[in-house]
Amino acid sequence: MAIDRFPIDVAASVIADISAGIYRSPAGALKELISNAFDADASTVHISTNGPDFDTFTCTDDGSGLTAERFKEIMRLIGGSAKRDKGEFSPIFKRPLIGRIGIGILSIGQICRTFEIFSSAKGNAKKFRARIDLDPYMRPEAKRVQLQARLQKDAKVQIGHFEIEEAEEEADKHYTRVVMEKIIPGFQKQLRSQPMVDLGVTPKTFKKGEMGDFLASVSHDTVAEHGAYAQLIWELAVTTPIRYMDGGPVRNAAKLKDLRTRMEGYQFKVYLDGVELYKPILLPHGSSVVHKVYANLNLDKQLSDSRTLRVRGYLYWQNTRILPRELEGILVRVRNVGIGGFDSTYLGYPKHEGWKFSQLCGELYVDDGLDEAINIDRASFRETDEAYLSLQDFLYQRLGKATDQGAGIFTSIKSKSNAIAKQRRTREATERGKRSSEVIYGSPRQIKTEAATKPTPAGVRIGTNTIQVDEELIKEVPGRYRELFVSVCAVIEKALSTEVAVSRRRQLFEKLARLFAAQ
Amino acid sequence: MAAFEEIERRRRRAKSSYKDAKKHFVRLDGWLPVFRAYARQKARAVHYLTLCAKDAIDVRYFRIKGVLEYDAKQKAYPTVSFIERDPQDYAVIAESLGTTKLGIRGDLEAILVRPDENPNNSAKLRRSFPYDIINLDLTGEVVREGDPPYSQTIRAIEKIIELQHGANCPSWHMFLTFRACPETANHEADQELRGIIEANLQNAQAREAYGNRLAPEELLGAQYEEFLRIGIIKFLASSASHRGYTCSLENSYVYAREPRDGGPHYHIVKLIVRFGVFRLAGHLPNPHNVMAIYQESVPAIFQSQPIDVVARLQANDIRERILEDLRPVLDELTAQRIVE
Repeated sequence: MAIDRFPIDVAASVIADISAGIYRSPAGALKELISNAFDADASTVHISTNGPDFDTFTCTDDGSGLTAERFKEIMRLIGGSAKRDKGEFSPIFKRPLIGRIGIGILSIGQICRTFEIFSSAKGNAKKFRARIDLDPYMRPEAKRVQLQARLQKDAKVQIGHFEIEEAEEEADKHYTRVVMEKIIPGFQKQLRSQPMVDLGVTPKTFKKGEMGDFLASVSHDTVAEHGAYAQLIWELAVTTPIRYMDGGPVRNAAKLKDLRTRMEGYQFKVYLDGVELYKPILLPHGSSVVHKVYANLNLDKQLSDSRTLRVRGYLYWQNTRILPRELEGILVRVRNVGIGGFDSTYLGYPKHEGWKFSQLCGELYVDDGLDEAINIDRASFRETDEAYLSLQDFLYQRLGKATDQGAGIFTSIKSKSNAIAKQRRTREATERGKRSSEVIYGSPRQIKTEAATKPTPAGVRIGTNTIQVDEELIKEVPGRYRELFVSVCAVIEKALSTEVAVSRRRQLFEKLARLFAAQ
Repeated sequence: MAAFEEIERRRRRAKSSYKDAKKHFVRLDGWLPVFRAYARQKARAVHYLTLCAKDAIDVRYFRIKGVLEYDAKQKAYPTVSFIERDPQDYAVIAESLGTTKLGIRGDLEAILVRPDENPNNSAKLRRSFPYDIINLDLTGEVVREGDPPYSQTIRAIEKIIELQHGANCPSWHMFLTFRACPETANHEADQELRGIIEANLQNAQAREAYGNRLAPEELLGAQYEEFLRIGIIKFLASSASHRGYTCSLENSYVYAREPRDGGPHYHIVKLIVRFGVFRLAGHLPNPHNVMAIYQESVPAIFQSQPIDVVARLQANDIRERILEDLRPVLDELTAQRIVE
């Protein structure tokens, strides 16, 4: 029997869709522009959203800029340029380069379909204006264009077109400015939606007190419940290579000084709607929170394909839930840029550790070795990549297993938590005893609470009274109920000492009811 | 010359003029007292629509003078709206001012006159009315060469008056700035204006107010800026009366400009005009009333004399004092380090 063979074709629009929709959120797309500015040795990036209308976005950096020729080269074949060599640094601030200029520019397609770029390169007395149009390639008719037909011609797929013009500029001027209009309706609607504006953070509320107050306002539960603008702020602040808030990431943690110094050393500032962003990590939120920093999550490992995986990181634990919830988990930063958000599965940690997951927060700065494991969305990893697997193993080991550096972090957390729980139980029992005595004897001023519920060899002393309870009998009662038992005995003793049985019996019942209510 | 080169040349030219003493003299002498009056009346919540250009000197200046509402913590100008045609300049304004009442990247005239082409911006702008002060710094002619006499600019100004009236604004000011350049003027429009002025002069009271100026035909040739100043105020008065407002000229300023790039010599004319409602929105216009209101305003227009800015700046140390007054704004611009 003859076997029929058919080609499998894909529409050009699929490529266009992929190109314009690779980022999970518009913040992801803006992050790419910020990364480009970081690589270009910019000291400031200004982003304007024109909120509350959100119909025009602009992004301007004072980096080294581009020439028209370089821009054409990048745009003619996006993604075709060679990756940067590992270990390459920016010339002025010596920042480790993030790379991917072309993809960064294309990422704007996530926000709008047509946009303009203006740029002037340092030392070049010219500037250019480029108008980029992706719109025709997003329309339904593009779906009918078969990719194979295009590929046979020139092995490229057109996903847009651009026009470019040059004009004179002062030679010392250097910048790149992107103006984005006709914002994609879904994104605009999300940012504008009335309930979110009413409940959440708008450009105006965000500015009240800047980042510190923003963090305080979203730290009751989740950032997401504060609306799309809050999420935009959060994602940009978390993922971009900017400074920590003063004292961050963990207050008084001298062991993390190098991370703070590293970010400050890059001298990179990002402003959103006029307000400077900082990494919104400042733990613990309150002075009474018990916490611990595991600062030495460091790894230097040679991989089989000659890559070296270099990691510097920390984990922070506290005895209460980390808030906002978006901070729970581990954030992997590749060359200082956050990949996705905080991962509350700890890179898919295989065991269920219950509440401990919600009490941890950490960052892993990966300076080398992990670039190739990043998916095109720049928000996730290829989980079969050797470097990623090594990072996973490293984290799992530090979390779970005892190593020569001490017990696994989860074990350490568990023993700390148990100690804290024991202290709390003791404290609560004392409080309960105090409350019981108040119920039984009335005015707390007459009660010596220290002695109130303490069993003695001769019996039990409550307030100024001593009652006789057989110690052997007390031992028969499970430990956690002994104090309650003694208190009930004291109530009975008190009631029996009265002469008017009927009225005192009622009083006994009332006191018992209040005693239990006080537990 | 390519379009982008021409745009850039114009931007560079405009940049050099934003910070000069002549321009700032009008801000200080003419605009600031108007702002002060509204600020007193409305506790600084002066709703202000401006074509402020990229340095937004007017917005910054009035904020520094304490006559414009500003929330330093929020970095917000809640009563300021701006419109900017150039995408680069729009970005500079939006990024440096922070949050404003309204920011539109577009052409004011097109948004007002051809709303169908840009319905979103048109709807946003309409919703934002009324304003206490509208500053239309046109940087060009009111009727450009090649335009019909009833130009897009004129129609846009009329639309603004209509929108103010429709939003029940009882009293407001317009600062109108335009170029008077005989070489690039629209002669057809000039002839129509001349005809209207001559018709006004049939009235004895108006003729007396006109005084010993040259006849309109000669004025057009010999003192074009004065011809245009009178003509445009009269147009505003007529247009306002048909839209329920009286229109009175509070002040006007004229100064010469010599372009560095060898272009034709021209004058800048600046008008400060007050509008007061005489017919409420929703009421029928009374043609007799409209005509009477207009005719009453003509003698005052003819009597008005412009302030010669150049002459005023020649007085002892005035120029230095003017520039000193502007210094905080320039310092702020330097400190902010917004690109360009």
